[in-house]
Amino acid sequence: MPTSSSGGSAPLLQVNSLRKSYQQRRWLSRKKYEVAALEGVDLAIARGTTLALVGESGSGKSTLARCLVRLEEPTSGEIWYEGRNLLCVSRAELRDLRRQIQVIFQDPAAALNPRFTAAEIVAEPLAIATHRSKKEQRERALDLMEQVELPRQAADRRAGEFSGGQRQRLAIARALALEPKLLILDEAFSALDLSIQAQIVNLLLDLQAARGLTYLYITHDLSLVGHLADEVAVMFRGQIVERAAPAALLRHPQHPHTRALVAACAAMDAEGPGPRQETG
Amino acid sequence: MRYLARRFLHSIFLLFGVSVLTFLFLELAPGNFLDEMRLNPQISPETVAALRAQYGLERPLLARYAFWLKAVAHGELGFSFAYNSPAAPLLWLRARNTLLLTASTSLLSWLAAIPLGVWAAARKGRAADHLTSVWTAGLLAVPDLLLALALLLLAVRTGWFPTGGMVSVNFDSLPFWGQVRDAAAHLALPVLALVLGTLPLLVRHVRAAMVEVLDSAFLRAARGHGIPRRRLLFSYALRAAANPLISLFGLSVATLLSASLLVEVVMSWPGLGPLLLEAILARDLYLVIGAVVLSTLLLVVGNLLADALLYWTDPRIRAR
Amino acid sequence: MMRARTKLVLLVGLLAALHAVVLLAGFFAPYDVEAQNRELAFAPPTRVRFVDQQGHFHLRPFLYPWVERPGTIGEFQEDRSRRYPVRFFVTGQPYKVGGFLTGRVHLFVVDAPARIFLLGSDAFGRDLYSRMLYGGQISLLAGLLATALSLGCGLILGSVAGFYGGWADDLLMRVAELFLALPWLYLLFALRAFLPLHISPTRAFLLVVVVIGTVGWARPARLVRGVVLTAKERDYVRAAIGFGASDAYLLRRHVLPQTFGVLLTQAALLVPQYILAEVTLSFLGLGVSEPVPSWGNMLSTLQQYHVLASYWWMFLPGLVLVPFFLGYAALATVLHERLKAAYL
Repeated sequence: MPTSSSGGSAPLLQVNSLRKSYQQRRWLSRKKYEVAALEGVDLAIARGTTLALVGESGSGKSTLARCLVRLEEPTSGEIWYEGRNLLCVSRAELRDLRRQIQVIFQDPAAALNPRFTAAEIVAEPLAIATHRSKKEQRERALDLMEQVELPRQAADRRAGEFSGGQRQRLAIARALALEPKLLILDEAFSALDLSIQAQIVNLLLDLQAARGLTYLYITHDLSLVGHLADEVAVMFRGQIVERAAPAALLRHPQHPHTRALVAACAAMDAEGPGPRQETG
Repeated sequence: MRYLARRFLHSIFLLFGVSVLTFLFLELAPGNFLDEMRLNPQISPETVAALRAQYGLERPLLARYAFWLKAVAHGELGFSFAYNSPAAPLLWLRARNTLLLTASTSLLSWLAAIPLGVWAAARKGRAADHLTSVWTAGLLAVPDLLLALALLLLAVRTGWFPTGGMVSVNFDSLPFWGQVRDAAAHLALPVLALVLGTLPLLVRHVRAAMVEVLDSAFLRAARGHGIPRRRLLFSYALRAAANPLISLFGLSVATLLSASLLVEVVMSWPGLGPLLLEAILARDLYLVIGAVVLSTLLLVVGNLLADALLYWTDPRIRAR
Repeated sequence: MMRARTKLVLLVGLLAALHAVVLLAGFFAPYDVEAQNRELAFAPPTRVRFVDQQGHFHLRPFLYPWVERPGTIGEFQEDRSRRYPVRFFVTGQPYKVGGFLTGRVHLFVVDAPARIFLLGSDAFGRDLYSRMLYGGQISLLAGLLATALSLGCGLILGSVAGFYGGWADDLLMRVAELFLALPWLYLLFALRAFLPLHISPTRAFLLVVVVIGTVGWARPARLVRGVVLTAKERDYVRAAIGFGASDAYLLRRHVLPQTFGVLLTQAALLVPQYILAEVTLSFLGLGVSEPVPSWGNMLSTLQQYHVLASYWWMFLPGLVLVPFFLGYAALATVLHERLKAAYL
């Protein structure tokens, strides 16, 4: 159930013909292998909406996500965020803009440093990016934990002592600490049990309603897309092959690859809520 | 063949690296060695001047390195001031002795380690295995220096072994078999010290490799087929475990050379070790560099031998 | 899990006790390092007795002093005419602990003119047992400092190589490979060969530490690099980059703490190896030299044939290495297993 309809205003994020290719060279060999991961991707997300980017593994969706937060350098193209091209801003500006785009990773166990306590994890962005005192940081961290429905008493437990769903809540709380505008949900649910998935999805929908957040949801399966997304983009071999509203896409998939994805999802649903959870 | 070629390249890299390293040491040494030599009354100023010219000390660093490398390539390892002769013949003779010692040690310690390790692995978890782990741990905690000294002490007090040198004073007057016996008797003590020093680690590795193989599915299947135990252990399992052990042989050459250096000094075996020590104490520069380079050469030969063995025994590497 | 922990605690306790004995050498040793007894050169180990000539048992151990056997030079026999009881916790010669504290109490002494030489005496009639304890201070300190130096170099170079990658990584790892492949004693000697020979004991000590520590940087560097490589790929590091974290922050908070386990395990392996390196260098006359005792130079007199042939007890101080090596080897095994368990 989409929370808001896509408005007609300028998009928060717009990507124009983004390319990324990797050069590989073997030792003592002059031959270069060029592997293209993104072959001219165009994308736009409106403020306060959710775009689902669907594709199988290796289709380039994760590369795209990493390019968006400049963990990797695109080969060419433009990334416009709030009227500024992320690929040609100064280092200081980039640092500032990067804080407005946060990523929720697939495996919450890997996304949290096991040596840190819950409060340290959530306060980390504040410690890095702000000049608040330790006490203020902790107060803010506890507030954030409350917002993601984690008990304040859990603040001094280590990351390893939380369950998978609780860890993902911690990751969300941490991502919210710097008041970002765009969250990239990189397979953020696939490591969780089905019932937990639903809880986290609802939490994210509530947060979106309350804070006007924009989501880019990256996934390889369509099962949660209908609940979360306003629009779906299907990615195949480094290109976007189809864009549609979720309901339309599920009912009338156009591209053969989309049809395969929809069929796979339907088959999964037919099997019922089986043991689909991956380790988490 | 690609595999062997690559390993050969690696060896070249190693020798090259050592030459650069020793050359750098030489450059970084505080004070010029030739200056020090000029103060030495035993060396004539002409010699110093000739050396200065020969090694082109006025030329830039890279040129000097190239010059040195060229001389080495022609088998000239420099000049020994203490012996007042070219270093190469001295070094080759000593390297031969070190080779004799280390090769005998390798042979004997592997011959002992394989049955001991296989025996422990075959009785995994039982008394024999525990006994093996205890004596290897105990022996590992005794440094080579102590082993060598203790054996020397034993030899001196019991007179069971001759001590010092490679042969007795009257070696030349002995009949052929007497010479062989004399040489073997002199070899026995240093070899024993080195074998005791290297054996525990080898036994442990043989045991570990064998345990892994004995747990594997194919061996359990072979056991199911009723293949006799002895044949199973020494023919099937040992061959399967050979790979990591041959790699270990390659890696252990360096350790063996280090241990040999010390044992040679303690037991007065005329190998590279005592020569290196003398050269250091006499500040005999080119002899030092030569000894280090030659020890690397021995190491490289040992490693290449291991690679060739691996190539020969492992069809997977041959296929590559 | 619990048992492994108990084992670890026991081992650390044992090693701490061994080191404490060496640190408190002044208390455990009856004599000063340089106290000479020229008339008691190469005296064999004292026989500590409980039963006297008359067959009477004494609870307090005693000894008969060594006197030169009449008509010989340098051969000793017990003078049974007088008993000298061993007295415990006696205030005597002042000594320093750790260079600044002064103590006066000794664990045991005997009254002059008798001497107690538990391990015999050397060419100057110095007590080998006392010198062994004091010598340990030099050898252990050399081992520990050289280990710290190696690990420090390894940590810096390994984390630079792993964190920044690129040509620095390539170069460092090539050189590390070289250092690892070579026979390290030859390397040690080669480096030592180009440094001055005749220097004061303090400078010699520092030199030995630096030489040993420098030669061994490669293995820790490679291990640290491996840990850093995996650590920097973790999602929480990526997240921190997203918050605008600096490299220094990432290294300090996320990456370097993870190298701790590897460094600790390496330390347990390196300390005995480096103690032995000091012993070897000093034994061969390339390290710390007389009159300062070290475990290495105490053994070096055994290179003289007549000492080896006649005075077997000169070998005894060498045996002190064995419990240290056993302890460190066991510690390394336990730490290694903990490390493996943490990664699985």
